Amino acid sequence: MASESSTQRRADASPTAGRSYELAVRSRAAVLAVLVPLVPGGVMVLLPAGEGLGVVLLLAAVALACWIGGTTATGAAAAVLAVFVDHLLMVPAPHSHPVTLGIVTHTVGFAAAATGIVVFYSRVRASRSGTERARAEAEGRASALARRVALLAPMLDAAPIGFGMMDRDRRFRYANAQFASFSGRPVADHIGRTAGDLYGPEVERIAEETVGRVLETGQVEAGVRLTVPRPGGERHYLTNRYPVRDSGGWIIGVGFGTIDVTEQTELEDSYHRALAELTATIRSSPMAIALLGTDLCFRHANREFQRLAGDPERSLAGCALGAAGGLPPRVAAMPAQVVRTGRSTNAADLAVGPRFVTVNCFPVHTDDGTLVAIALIALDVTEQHRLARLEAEAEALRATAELATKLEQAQRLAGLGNWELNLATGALTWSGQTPVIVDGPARSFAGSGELPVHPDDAERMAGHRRRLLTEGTPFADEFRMIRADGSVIDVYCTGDVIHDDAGRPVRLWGTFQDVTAQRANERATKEAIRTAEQARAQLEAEHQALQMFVRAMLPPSLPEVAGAELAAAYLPVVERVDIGGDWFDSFRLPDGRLALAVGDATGHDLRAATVMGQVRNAVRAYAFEDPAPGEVLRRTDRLLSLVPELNLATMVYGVYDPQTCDLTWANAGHPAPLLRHGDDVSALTEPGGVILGVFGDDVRYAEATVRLAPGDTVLWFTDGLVDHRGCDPVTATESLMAVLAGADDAPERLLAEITRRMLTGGVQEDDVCLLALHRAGKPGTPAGSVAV
Amino acid sequence: MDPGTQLTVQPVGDGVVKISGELDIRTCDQLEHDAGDLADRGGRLVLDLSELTFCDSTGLAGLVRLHKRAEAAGGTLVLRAPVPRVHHLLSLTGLTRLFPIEP
Repeated sequence: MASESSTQRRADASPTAGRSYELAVRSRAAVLAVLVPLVPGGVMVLLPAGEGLGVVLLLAAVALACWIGGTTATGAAAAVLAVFVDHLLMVPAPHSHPVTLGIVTHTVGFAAAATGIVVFYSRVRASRSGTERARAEAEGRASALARRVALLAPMLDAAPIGFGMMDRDRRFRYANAQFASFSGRPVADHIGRTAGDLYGPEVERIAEETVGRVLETGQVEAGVRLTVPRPGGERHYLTNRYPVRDSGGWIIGVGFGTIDVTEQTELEDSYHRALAELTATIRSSPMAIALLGTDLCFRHANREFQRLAGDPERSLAGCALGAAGGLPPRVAAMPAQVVRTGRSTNAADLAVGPRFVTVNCFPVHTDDGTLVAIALIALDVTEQHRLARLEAEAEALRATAELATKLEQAQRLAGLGNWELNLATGALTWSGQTPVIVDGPARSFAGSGELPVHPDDAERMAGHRRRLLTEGTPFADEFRMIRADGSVIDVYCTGDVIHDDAGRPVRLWGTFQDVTAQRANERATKEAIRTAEQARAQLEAEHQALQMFVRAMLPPSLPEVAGAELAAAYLPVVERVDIGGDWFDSFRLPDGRLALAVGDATGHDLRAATVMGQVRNAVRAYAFEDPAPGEVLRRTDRLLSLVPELNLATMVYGVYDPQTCDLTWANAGHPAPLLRHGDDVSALTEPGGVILGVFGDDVRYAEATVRLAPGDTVLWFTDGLVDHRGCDPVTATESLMAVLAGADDAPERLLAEITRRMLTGGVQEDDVCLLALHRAGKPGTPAGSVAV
Repeated sequence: MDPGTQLTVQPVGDGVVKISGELDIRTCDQLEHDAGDLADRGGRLVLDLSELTFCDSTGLAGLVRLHKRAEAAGGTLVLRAPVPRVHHLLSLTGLTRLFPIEP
């Protein structure tokens, strides 16, 4: 406004004449404006001489401005501005107005200009000094922050928590090593960078959101969870954010402490997952499961347990154990027992209503052994119970059936049946075996109630029955029963009375057993024993007769011989009832010599004995006619050969002359006699000869003669002594020769010794005859010679 | 009586009969029964005695009877390979003169 009015006035008073002056004044003022700031004092001296009061005022204004603004560019500028204002307002005035007016207008103009400049300048100055002060304060705060960071850095650098700080521009001003490790970049990379620079736009968004909120509200944000996608997978961080203020309360940044909780988070996740699964498992379990605190209040109970407690819909959590009314007292008592004893307990097959459960109750301990809860688990075993009961019933049925079968089998095997007579109805029942025993459907038995007893036994059995009915006397007796086919069987029958509670007889019952086969066996056995005894007695008698016969055939005594001793032995097999054909004989011949014979007729029966007797008598007869041994044997052979039946016999026959001590003999197939001379024993094997009874007439038996020396002994024997299954006959003969060599001289003792040594210790199979001839005298004379 | 006494009479063809076991009063009849028909046919009848371990006088009588039956039918009874004990008995009784004996 002021500028507009001054322009108006200058247009009115500015003809072309005033232009040059105006230009001159302006040029001068410009020069002054340049010079004034340089040499204000000089200007102050020069100006009063040229321009009068206006100039003085101008200079005063300049001086005032310089005083106010200082001798600086600002002061110079204010002076120039004041000069221009004054010039515009005051310079044209001298041309149209008196000096007084000029002084007044200059003064007023100057005052106005000066005032305006001063006011303006003071405002500018005030404004400028506020900004600078703010700047200084900010710089102070920043340096305070830097100092604080510098002070805390050594402590924070190594902290296991990630510390960082951002200024208001969201640029990192600090990050410790732990924080840097989150990004995997050096600490130095963080300073001056934003989260976006370091982690990408996603994180920058999160940072902007959270940091911005702290900066805006000044509130601490604690426990903020961040999930940050990282190349290796998502990482989870737990961070606290707080405003960092200067001493004036001004928020200069946001600090944060961050820890990586990825592992914990995953652990928690898995824990939560496991917990959820476990919870679901318990909830879905067909077993009733409940957990109680040590105060015996329910903490958890699944639906099944709630059902066990009476109402599946009624939650038991928080409910006291005693308030869960549906539980059996035994179960309700278990947790308290567990608390008291510290040991688990269980109860099997408890009846809960119509169901059965098996309950386990056990203490729940933490790792350090502290009892924290009691668990109750109940398993419904109703089905098992039912199956077990069915199984037991089936087993019982099987056992009964088996027993019945076995009884039936036993009765069948034993020929045993049982009967029962109902006295009230007269009905007679019997076991399945009964019809078999009584032959057919036991019609007579069933029809009359009477057993078809044999007439001979009827009275006795009727007596049994009467006493059974009238006196209750049980019976057990055997009787004969006539079967439907007319056959008679032996029956062993028992009977007894069954009384009712009042003691009245109501039924008769008993068993009967077909003992026909047993009785038949017993009879047969008795008969067999009797027959065997008879046979044995008969054999005994026969044997005795044979023995008597044989002994009758043998000489009752032996003849006396001068200068010699004779002994004989007949040794039958004691155990046998038959006899052998062994025999011996010795008799004096009419010429005084001694005949000696030992033989064996084939066979062991009466015929053998007969042959033996024939031979013995024939020998005696032939010897009386012609005692020559060869002739006696030849005739005997012919005699036996003439008999139609084949009769074989062996024999040694000899003649001993007591005068000459010569022994002459012949042998018909018999074991050779043995000669003992001194210590030597020899077998008189030559001559041999064929067995009697085979060849007949054409056989001639050679003879041999041996002269016995004093002390010599000749032993005749039959083959039973050396020829039996137990040994080889050649070996046995050698044994016999050895025994003979060492035996006593006296023939009786010699034979006893031979018998003892040769026939004991084994089984004697055959009869044996022995005959010994001993010539008296001392040995030492020359050996006897043998002449054939 | 010894129930252990056993005899087997086994024709092995070609007129040969093998006699195994023991020949005594208990088995003699069996021999004459089993081998008698062969003896009655005449011809040459060989009794293989290599496994006859025992023979007594009754057994000898049985052999002699078989011999007589073979002889009556115009045949011959030959004894083959008797063990020493049986051969000894045959020698002692002179029956080696009656029976042809083959080794």
